[in-house]
Amino acid sequence: MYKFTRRQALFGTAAGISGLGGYWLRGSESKDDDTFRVGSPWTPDSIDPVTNGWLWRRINVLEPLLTVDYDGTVSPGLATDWHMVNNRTWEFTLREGVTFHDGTDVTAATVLPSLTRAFDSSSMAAVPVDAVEATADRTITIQTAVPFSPLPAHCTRGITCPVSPAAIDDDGSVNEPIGTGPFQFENWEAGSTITATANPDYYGSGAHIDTLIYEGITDDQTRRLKLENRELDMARILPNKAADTLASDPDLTAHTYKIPRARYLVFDLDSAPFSDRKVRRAVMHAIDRDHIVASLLNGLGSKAVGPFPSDVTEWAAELEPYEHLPEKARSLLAEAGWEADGDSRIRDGEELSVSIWTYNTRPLLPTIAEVIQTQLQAVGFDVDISVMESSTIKEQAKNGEFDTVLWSSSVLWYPDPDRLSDFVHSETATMFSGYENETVDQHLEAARRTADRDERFERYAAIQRRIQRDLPLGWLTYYANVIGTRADVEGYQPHPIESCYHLEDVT
Amino acid sequence: MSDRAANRRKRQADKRQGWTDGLTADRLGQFGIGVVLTLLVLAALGPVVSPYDPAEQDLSNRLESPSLSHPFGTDQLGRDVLTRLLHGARFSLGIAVAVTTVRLLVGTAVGLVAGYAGGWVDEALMRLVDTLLAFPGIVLALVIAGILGPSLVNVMLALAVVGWASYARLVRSSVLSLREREFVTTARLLGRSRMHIATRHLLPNVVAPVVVLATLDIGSVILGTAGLSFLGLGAQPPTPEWGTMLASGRNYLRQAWWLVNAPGLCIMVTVLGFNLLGDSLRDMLSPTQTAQMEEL
Repeated sequence: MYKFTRRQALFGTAAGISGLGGYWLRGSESKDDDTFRVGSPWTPDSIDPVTNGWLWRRINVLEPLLTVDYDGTVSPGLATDWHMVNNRTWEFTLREGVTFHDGTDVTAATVLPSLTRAFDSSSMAAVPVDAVEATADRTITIQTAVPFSPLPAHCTRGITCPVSPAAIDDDGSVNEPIGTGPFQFENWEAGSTITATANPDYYGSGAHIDTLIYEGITDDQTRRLKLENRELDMARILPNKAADTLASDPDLTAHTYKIPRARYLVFDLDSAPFSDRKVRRAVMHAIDRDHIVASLLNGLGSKAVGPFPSDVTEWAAELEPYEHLPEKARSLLAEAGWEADGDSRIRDGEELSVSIWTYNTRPLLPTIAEVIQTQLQAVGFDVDISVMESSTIKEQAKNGEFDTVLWSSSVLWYPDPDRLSDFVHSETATMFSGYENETVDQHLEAARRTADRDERFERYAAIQRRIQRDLPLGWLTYYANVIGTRADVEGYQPHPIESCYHLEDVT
Repeated sequence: MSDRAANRRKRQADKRQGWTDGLTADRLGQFGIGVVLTLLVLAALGPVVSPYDPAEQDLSNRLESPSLSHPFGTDQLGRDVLTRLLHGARFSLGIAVAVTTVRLLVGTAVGLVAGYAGGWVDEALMRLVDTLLAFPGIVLALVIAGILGPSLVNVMLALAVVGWASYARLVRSSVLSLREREFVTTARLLGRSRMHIATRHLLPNVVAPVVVLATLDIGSVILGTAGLSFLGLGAQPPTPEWGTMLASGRNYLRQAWWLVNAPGLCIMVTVLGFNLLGDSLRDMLSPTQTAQMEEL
């Protein structure tokens, strides 16, 4: 039985108050000019590219075969050229004169062990790679089981970043992230910080700063306070509200930019009431997304139309948006048999009652859920909210019945619209709506087979139109990120897909 | 007969006099009782008096700082914080009283049975109590609430399950010393049933320390409920529970201090009030039992 004696309680209160006081006192730590400190919500938990490669890629210690350009297209990386030999074979030509941080030359043979490791891992299970081979000194050939045009996009993922063969132990584990990037690994503290130094032998223009310190700080407020206390030079992903306050501080600058990430509702198509498309449409017409963007998001981000934000990526199809029309929502519900009964609605003696599941590691989600709750109540839904762990939601939604889940995810974390397979393919989808549509499946599979961009665009547009009509998922808002930096940080350009922070450019 | 009745009445009157005397003499106790009474009145009347609805959102008035129309400001959805706190007081006090009552009833029953029955029953029950007491309560409550899923009812269950053991301990030890006293022996020799002895002779004699423990316990239940709700296991939004309010306000610590401070202050004052009240009750009712209480 836990119990606080009064002395403990008083002591705790006093400690808490003085702690808070200390929180606000600005540290007077002097800043080393050659060291750049960046704070981000994700803690470094592994040095293995297969588990944590995306993080090492973000700070540019590791580099992949292909990179993502600022316009969201696939561009050269360690490979300068890539093309399809036949519909199941791809060839990548490696850049010349590149060495790993330990001095080993980057050749097909030295890159191969990492690539094999990556494509064999379970995280890449959805990518149908049959074989990776070194066919010439500087040529890597990748065979896929089926024609798979999104392959180059997958080759931009941090998981595929090559490390020096010396870094891979005999048992297949990685002992040090020896990559090729403009920063080289110095040391790390699992779960908290990474220190990296400039790579003097980098083939490109190289880093302007000497030392880069990455800090994984889960809490938004702490990151922000650390930036304000000059303990960080850059704090990533701050609350939208912070944009105004940062701008008012002459020593700090706020960068805000849109990213291909969306908040959306996933409906359970297998259970009432959302098995009825009219009810799902009613939800979409009942929600006032402009209002959510303007107030809760502080005007940062925008209301979502389809899966892809058209101002970030070219893959967005032109779609008919669901406007905020409460009257229409009410009539749709009436059509679906849910008759108004006082404030609620009833069909066959059952009340129109739904629950929204969401999670709080994205702090705004529960708040948005509350707004949606009120807006749905206005048209006759009885809504309750459950805030759970995201992993619990995934598990329970896959196994059992749910009504709807308010979720948030990147819609393009590798730059290919094949990402839609995760949302709506009847078999491979990781989202749990239970959506099955033959036409959508056919389009998804056909679009994987062809490398013709126009044809692919047409097919993905057809899919987007179809899911806009069928509504297995209801798109709510897109994201904008707020990055705070010290005002004297120059050369930082936010990357839309954020596969890399490109801190080598900052001074 | 009438003499005896008159004597008893006089004794009771003396006792009452002693109660009130002690309470008024003890400044801290007065403060505690004042806080508790004020809270009860606010919880009862506040929601009726307040012009706002605790769930009514006004997105154009988000995060307004404290003003005359919103004495404690508004929250991230434009809801009046004071109104929500007053509604929250009903939840917090209601839950605390309910959970404490369950703890008290279960614990007292177990303690009575264990103490009076003795033997293997006592042994079995006390080992169970030992297990529960050895386990960090908040961790056990976390596990129970986590398994049952997030809801206020489950939090109440979890807190009730982990908290009854100290009552059982207390009651058992009192019963152990009482059962050898003359009046119990007399009752037994007179052929009274065990049930009768337990409820008529033992129970009245353990009520005082149990009431004291319960008063002190209310504070810790309020803390427990708020803690579990803060961790997302308790009240679900938009329920205006103090711990939940604290958790959602935390995201706005820099822009809107009142979102965290107001519910935090409420929890603090309430717990303090109950603890002071419990303390002075203890001092008054059973000075000899002070040492025993401290141990629990």
